[in-house]
Amino acid sequence: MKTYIVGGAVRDRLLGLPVADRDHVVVGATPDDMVALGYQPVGKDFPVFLHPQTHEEYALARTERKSGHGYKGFTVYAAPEVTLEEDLRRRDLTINAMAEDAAGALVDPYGGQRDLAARVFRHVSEAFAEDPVRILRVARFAARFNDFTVAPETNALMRRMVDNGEIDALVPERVWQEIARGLMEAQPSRMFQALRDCGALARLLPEIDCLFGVPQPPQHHPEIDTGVHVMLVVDWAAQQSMSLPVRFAALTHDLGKGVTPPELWPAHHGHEGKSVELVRALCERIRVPVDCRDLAVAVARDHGNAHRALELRPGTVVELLERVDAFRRPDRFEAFLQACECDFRGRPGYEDKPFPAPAYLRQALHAAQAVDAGAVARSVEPARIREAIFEARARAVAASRSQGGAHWEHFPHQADVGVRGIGPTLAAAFEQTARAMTAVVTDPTGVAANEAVDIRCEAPDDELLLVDWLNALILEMAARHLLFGRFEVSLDDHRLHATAWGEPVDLDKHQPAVEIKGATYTELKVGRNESGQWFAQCVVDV
Amino acid sequence: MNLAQFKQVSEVEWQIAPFGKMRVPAVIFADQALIRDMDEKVYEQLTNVATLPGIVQAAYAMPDAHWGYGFPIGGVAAFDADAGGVVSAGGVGFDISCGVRTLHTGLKAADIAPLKQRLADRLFAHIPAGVGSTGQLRLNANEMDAMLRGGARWAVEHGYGSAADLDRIEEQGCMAGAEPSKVSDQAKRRQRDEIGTLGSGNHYLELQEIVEIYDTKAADRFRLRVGEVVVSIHCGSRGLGHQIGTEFLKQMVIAAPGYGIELPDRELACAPINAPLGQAYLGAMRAAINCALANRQVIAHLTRQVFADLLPGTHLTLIYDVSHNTCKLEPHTVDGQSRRLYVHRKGATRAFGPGHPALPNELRDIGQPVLIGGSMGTASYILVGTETGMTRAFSSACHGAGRAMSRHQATRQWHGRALVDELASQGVLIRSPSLRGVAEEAPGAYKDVSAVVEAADRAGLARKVARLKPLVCIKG
Repeated sequence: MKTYIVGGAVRDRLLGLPVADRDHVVVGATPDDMVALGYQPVGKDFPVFLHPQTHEEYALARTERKSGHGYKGFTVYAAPEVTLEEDLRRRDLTINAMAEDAAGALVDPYGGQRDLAARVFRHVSEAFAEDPVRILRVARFAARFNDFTVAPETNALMRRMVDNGEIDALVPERVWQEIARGLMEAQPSRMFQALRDCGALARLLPEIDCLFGVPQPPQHHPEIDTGVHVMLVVDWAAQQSMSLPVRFAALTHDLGKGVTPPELWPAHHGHEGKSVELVRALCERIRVPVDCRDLAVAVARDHGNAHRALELRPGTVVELLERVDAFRRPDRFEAFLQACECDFRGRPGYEDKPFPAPAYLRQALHAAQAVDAGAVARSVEPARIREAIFEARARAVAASRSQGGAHWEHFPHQADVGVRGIGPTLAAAFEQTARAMTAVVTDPTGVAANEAVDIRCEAPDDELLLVDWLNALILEMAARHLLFGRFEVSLDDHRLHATAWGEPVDLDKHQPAVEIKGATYTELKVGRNESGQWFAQCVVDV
Repeated sequence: MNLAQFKQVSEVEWQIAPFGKMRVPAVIFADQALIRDMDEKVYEQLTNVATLPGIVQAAYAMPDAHWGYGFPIGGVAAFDADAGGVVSAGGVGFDISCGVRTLHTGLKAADIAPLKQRLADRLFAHIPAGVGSTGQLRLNANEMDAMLRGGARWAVEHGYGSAADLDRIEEQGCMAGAEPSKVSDQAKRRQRDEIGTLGSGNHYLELQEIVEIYDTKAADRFRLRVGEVVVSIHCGSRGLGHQIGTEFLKQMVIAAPGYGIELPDRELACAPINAPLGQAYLGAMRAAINCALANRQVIAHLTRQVFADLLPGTHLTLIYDVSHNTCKLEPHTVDGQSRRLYVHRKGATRAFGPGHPALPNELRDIGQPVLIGGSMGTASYILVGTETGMTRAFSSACHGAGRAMSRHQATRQWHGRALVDELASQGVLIRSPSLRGVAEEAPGAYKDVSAVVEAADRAGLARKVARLKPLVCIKG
């Protein structure tokens, strides 16, 4: 008897990728031989065993023959005389049909190395067509190995499987399982593209397929095509390592645009409501789990409101917070904001644009949460409690807004962090950038204003002045071991005079994540955004 | 990065021929997978470096290169002062002379296994780490200047470690040409109580077990044996270096037009080496190198105290101390001619090969130990400088894993507590003042250090000697 490492482990090692799980094939053994050696039998449909120490999977070499429709209709034949080549032949792609013996020698009867080098997904044999799940698997691999392409003959074979109805035999759970895994890969759009290329997307997820070719208004969507937009959004979500619910919500937020009558294009008024119905139906059909469904419904319904957050009346903002269940489920609200931000960033040229809505809505929630609902409830008659709490929250949101929508945010940088402040005046933007910098270290709302430090600086232009201002703060933080939470800046012709309030670093209270070394000239910009607000930003080295 | 923009010289060397204002070619050492994953910014920054006045031979990037400030992190470039060459604050970086030192404990992993928890707790309690931490030492103005002139030698004179350590530190522990008078009062103010502190971010102190030897001859000379435990300390020049970097960057940005230097990127700010500003920066930067050397010397002493207390009779001997953010004047042979060049290494380790006069007697015939830190919880490596390395990239090698993902992304994927527990279950004890800091430094947020080291080895920059596995990590 001889054992080989097979499949993904061999492929990933040749690609220089980390190998997570190793599967083994055993040639020339019977189930009884395996049990006698201490292996533990686990396979229901075919003979698979766990190694007594490593618990890695060992399967007896086998062949499979199609005996019915769908992925379960197989006759399995495992016997000592089945050869390694026969076992490899039943596998899906050449790059997955290689084996390695105990001495490390590679067995590659179907050109797996050649296809790895050429970065091609090619089916091993016509037996590929016997299992429609393989279409989804190839598409998922396309999302993971994003420089590979599907061989033309493999694509043609997949298309035949779609045309002859084999694809319709897939059970809904299996479709969701593969789509969910593909969404978690590096570039999910490639999965949908691969499914579209063979016609499978129209059968499996027609509501996504029909978004391609639907135009949107170019002033908000430079990419125009709704399908292209949705793909940019899921890829952005993947790039930002978002969770599965956020990625699924990103995929489905605009489904309603697919049913807009063409005579109304490129407008899609009220598409959010139609999206909600379509998301519910889709989730029902492919059995999407509740957490993914609920977030997808919320994002489909309210992404437009989130984008317009700064224009909404305070009461409408509170309604939005209530609808998204932000008061009880702050984690889901955060996921909601992440999905809305992906929707915004998934447009060409929008990757670095200021997007103040999430920070504003977070601040609104913060203000509304600060309302003492118990006290409000005790102050009015029972019938008016709900209304009174709502009004108090709306007033709190209005009060927080009167600061002119000043807020801060972070933007990504590979090794460090970008800080950005936004406000009605340049001075307010400088104050907010300083808060953003504190937030790199700790939550600025948790820093008490116990000590005041006076800061003055001067520079040839606003950008250099921003870097000077931040570096002056970094010096004071480092030399005095302080954290700052509140800032007041006044500016006069590139001269800055400011007071920063803070307190000494307290490890238990502040849990400071990292020390800031310096503010840099990278991504350094000071100016006004489209809505006329000032912003000031740069990357800080940590 | 798109591979089509390179000429592939070998399996691990990729060249960009000069175009536009480039004075020399740009060269990246990496295998195909590493270079494909590199940020496009590395290409942009490296070709920008190649435009600077007085650059010699080529602008180089190591296999761990990533998006830095002006220079890519993992960038190496040498300049000739007599050919109008420049010195760049961004080419050295904010954390001047950040580096790694590794000490031998002479103990077996099995010897310390029962004491692992206590060692972790005591090291964490004894060595100040994290935001706002302060050291035992308070330096007055005179002491500060003496430290900035003397480096590790100053620390030894003050009872931190022994003279034998100095031989095992670059520059014998004391960088010549340091000028404390060129270091601002603000920079000194930031450093008053920071000597002997680890800092934060990617800085750490680790106990590591030697798990694999690749080169028995070099391993013997470095006294590395499988199963034995070493201590590695990764930190730099603390607030003083950061402040010097900040201040000179600004001065160079403002002064560059006056020197007729056109900057494709403000972070590339530089000054002619022979100009007063260039000389002032070199004097201050060398003082910061001494600050880093003193800092690591004091931390090594604190580590020795903990070992002496818990495991009496243990002697921690220094294997070597390397710096990876520096600009140093070194002789190099270019086109058969010996020239004295100002070599910038930004996130790159000096890797002198056998026979180099700067190496101590007992290492001269084998080459310089090159210490490569991994990310928290993953492998570290010891390499050795090679003959071939001296003809490539001015005797330089990679310095670590390099980030693969932003801090924000990391905190979305990992939680500090869960990560600490998971690593503990793998036998790695983490101690850190900040759980969020731990999440930001998650092993998965870094590139695979093994791939980086493999590429450096195959490119002949340095040769693999040993692999180390972490046992305890004190995280700043």
